[in-house]
Amino acid sequence: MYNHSPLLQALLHHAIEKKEKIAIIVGGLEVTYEELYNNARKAAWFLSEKGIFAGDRIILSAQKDIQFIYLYLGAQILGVTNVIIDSESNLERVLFIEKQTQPKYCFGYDSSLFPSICFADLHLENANVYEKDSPEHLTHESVAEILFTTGTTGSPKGACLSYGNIYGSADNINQFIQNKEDDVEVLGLPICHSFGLGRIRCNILKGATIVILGSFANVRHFFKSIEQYKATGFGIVPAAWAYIRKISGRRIEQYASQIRYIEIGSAAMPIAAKMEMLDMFPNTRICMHYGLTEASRNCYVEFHDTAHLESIGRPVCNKVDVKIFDAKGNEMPDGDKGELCVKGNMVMLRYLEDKDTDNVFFGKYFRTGDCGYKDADGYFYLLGREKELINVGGKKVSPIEVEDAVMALGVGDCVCVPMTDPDGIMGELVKCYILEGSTELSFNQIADMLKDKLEHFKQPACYEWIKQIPQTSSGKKQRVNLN
Amino acid sequence: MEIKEKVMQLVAECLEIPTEKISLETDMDDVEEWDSMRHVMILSRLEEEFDTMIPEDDIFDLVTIGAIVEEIKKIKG
Repeated sequence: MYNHSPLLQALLHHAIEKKEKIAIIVGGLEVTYEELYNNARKAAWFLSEKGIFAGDRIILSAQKDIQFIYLYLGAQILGVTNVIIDSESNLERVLFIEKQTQPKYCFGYDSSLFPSICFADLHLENANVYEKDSPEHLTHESVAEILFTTGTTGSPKGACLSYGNIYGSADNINQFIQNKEDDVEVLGLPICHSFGLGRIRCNILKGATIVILGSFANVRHFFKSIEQYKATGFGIVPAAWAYIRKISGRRIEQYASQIRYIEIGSAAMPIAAKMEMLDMFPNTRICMHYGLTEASRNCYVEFHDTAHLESIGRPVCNKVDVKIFDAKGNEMPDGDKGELCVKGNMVMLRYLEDKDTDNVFFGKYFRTGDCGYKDADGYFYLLGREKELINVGGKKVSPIEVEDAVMALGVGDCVCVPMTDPDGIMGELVKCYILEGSTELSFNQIADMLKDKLEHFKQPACYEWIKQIPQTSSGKKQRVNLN
Repeated sequence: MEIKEKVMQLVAECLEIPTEKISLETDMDDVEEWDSMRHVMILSRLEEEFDTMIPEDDIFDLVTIGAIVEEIKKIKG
């Protein structure tokens, strides 16, 4: 059964071989593998009753709702493509994604354009179990899900990931982290983010247990879950780690002996913070990834490899290759700067829009847009971010999106750049330079007006006047020399 | 304004929700908007507003509005 999806095959296997094993815990609810599989099939039945079938798309959005996971898996049984959106997305982004993907149904929020239902109104317990196999025409190459990037032009791009991609990604990660069937992971990351969703897939594939919190905000709750469920691992972003340290000091090291692995990613982490984590978890496998929506987690560095902590590590496994190319697609010698390009079983098929896919591959190598080099030992180092995204606590912010929102308020021109978070928590924050004389609005007025226009983390933390917006020779805003 | 009212107003402002939606019993898990970023903002604004430093050892326990109010009362003696 489910020949197109090794992930579903693994779920089916666990549902038969270890039916009583707890797969997911959320809000005190414990779901066994048998229940997870049956509820996924109920979700498939529900979708089919709504007239949703293979090739159709649905949008899913959630922070931690279990129905999200049932629908996510149920859609895969039918061959329906899941479009995942962040539950904190602003209306403009949601509308853009809805228009691009034309979903048959939206789950987890109210849509103004398409049929939609919130999870509280979704009663899957009343659904029948979908007994049939998946449609025969589905293959590993069929599109399983679409995740939207932040986008450098202000317009997000939909990365189309196949069933082979999402399985390949989870399998690669499990190999590197060395996840085991008896692992119990506490997940504080939102499940609608690539990192959080990836952790769920990794655990289901292994037949392990995952405890979903959806947030690290309540650190006491996080610690209590580690204790209560005897957790052996967790995934975290550097901003959340800095937050936990600020809120709880070194209390977390009391769990060092039971935590076998930690996965970190989504943003850079200062060397001092890496060394400190290693000091607190000396016997834990601490794995930091470099990745992106289009090419999943493709490089890893393990913190005991202290000689290479400044690198992003090496390719996750032998199914993944990373090369440095020049602008024409020629491979650069070791030590020479160029663009990081990634080939492997988890690299996306294409973008949703054909025009977006132009020039994003050199052969089978996806162009990340990040600049770096490889050393003689095969470790990769990032030098800069050609795409100019601002990384606020692991959430990528397009400066252009913020600039557009500011200018729509009645500001003649502005430019946004990253600034270091003075509290040392979020890594970067957004700083906005406003062209002097181009508006009568004060910084406070702009900040107030932006509250309804942009998600909280995208709102500039600091404003400053600027006499002239720096531009490149081709007229593009030049952000690199501003800070 | 009393400490309790000041704290409630400040927390509501940081969470961008009406003051009526919160009470002394409100736990950070009860409010969807109360994420880690806003929690840091609340702590920072409290220190600014009351011109104080919240001891590191106490921050861990500040998960309800009531606990925050009691902490500020304790510090301000």
